[in-house]
Order: sequence, then C-alpha cells, then structure tokens
Amino acid sequence: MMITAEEVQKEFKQLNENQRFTLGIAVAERMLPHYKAFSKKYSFGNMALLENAIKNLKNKVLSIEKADLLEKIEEIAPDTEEFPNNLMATAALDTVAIIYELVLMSSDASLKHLENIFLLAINAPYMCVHSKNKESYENPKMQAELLLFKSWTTQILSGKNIEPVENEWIKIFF
Amino acid sequence: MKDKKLEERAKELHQLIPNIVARNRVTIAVLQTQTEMVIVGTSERELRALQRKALLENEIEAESTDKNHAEENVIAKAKELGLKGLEIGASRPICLDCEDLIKQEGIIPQTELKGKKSKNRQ
Repeated sequence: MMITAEEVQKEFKQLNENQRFTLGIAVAERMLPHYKAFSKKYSFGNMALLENAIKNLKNKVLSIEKADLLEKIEEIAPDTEEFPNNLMATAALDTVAIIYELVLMSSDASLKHLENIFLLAINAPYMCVHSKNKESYENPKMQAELLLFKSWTTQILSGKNIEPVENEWIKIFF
Repeated sequence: MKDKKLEERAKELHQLIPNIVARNRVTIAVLQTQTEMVIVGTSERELRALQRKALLENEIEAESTDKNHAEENVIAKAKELGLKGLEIGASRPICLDCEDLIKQEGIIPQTELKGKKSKNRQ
C-alpha cells in the first residue's frame, strides 16, 4: 500500500522534543553528501562549516553565537538563479536549509521545524522522479524514501539507534 | 498605484518553500497572458510539490531550461504556446537581462526592477 508524505508527517507528532532533534540530525547527515558533491563540482561553499555545525549540534554545544552561525550558514547557500534548472543546486540548497532549521531547532524543537526538514529532504527526490517520468510520490524510490522516514521515526520511538541507509539519490542527481 | 496581483501570487507560491534560506535563493515568476491562462515558472528545475499542488485551474507550469531565470522561462512558455504575455510579477526584484526581455516583449512588469545583472551574468 502506498504511503503519503502526510502520513509520514503525522508520525512525527509522537516524537518528543529530543526525539525530533535526533531525527533532524539523522536527516541532515543523510543530506550532507548532496552539498559535498555540489560543492566539489562547482568549487562552491563551505563543506566544513556544515560538518562542524552538525557535529556541534549533536554535542549540543555551538562554537559560536546562534545568530552568527545562522548567518554563516545562509551565506553558503547556492542561489538557484545562478544554477538554473540544476537539481544538484536544489539538493545542496535544501541541505543548507535543513541545517539552518536544525540550528533553530536547538533552542525550539517545535514540530514545525521537523516538518520543514522533512519537506526539504524529500524535495529533490520528488523533483527527480517527477521530471523524469512525471511521477510523484507513487514512484518506488520515492516510496522507499518516505518509508525510511517512517522507519527512522519508529526506531527513535522504540529507543533504538537509527540505522543509516546509503543515500542513493546522489547517483541519480549527479 | 500599480496592480501587484501577479507579484502577490508569485510571492504566495514562493512562501510555500518551507525555509527562509531556501526561499531567499529561489525565484518564482507569474505571467498573465492575453487569455485567462497564467504561466508560473521557477528558477529551480521545476516547481516544488506544494507549489504545483497550489496551482489554480488557469495556471500552468513553465518548464525550466539550463540558462533561464524564472521570468525567462514563463516568457518562453508563452511563446511556445503562441500566447502574448501582458504583465509579469516575480517573487524578488527582476534582473537587468530579464528586464530587457520583458520590455522587448512588450510585457508590463509588476515587480521592482533590480537594474543590475545577476551575479552569473556579469
């Protein structure tokens, strides 16, 4: 049976603030290779800044003021006008946006931030399947992506460690 | 006062991008044609799922091309369909190249003009 993005989002309501943050971190780590590949191909941005931000967020210690970090993160986001019709740019931009949301989440783990993270994370895969076959969430790869979010939510709720799954979208995007 | 209906619509669709950083790096353009049809375009490969879902019956999506800005995409789509663009609105100020094209096509911009080229076109 097909799973929808709305169904996955509903599952998030069961997570407490710490659990939301844990899921957010896992998503950011899954997205990071998108930025890395984009950054390498176009000699753009600052991969280390994002890696350090995630590391510090995991340890719940920010090395600089939150507002400064948010500003620095925004500075390294690609502008899609400079990379038109470029799915890599969108995936890299969404990665930056997710980490930005995570920083906001460090002081306010409201459900809205996690929902934003989720929508940003499934955006490039959606565009990928849609532009290739005019398909949407019913695409098997897209379904697998949605199920991964559902599975991670279940794992967190049952107190298990999240099992990372290789991000195969990179091979398709790039 | 200039009618800002198209710019407002562009901004409405733009707001569906769920993060401020992502919003600040994407442009949405909306072109009113001489018919009921309105053409919506983006600086990304295509509209995001929530944006597509929010399109009205008379709104169609313009395909993106490798070099085009959102404004150029909607104008190209109108031409492809044999339609005349009347007015255009965008979610952020319009760059000089797009402004030139808009003027050349006799389209009225409803959005502020940047008066400068985009970074990658300088």
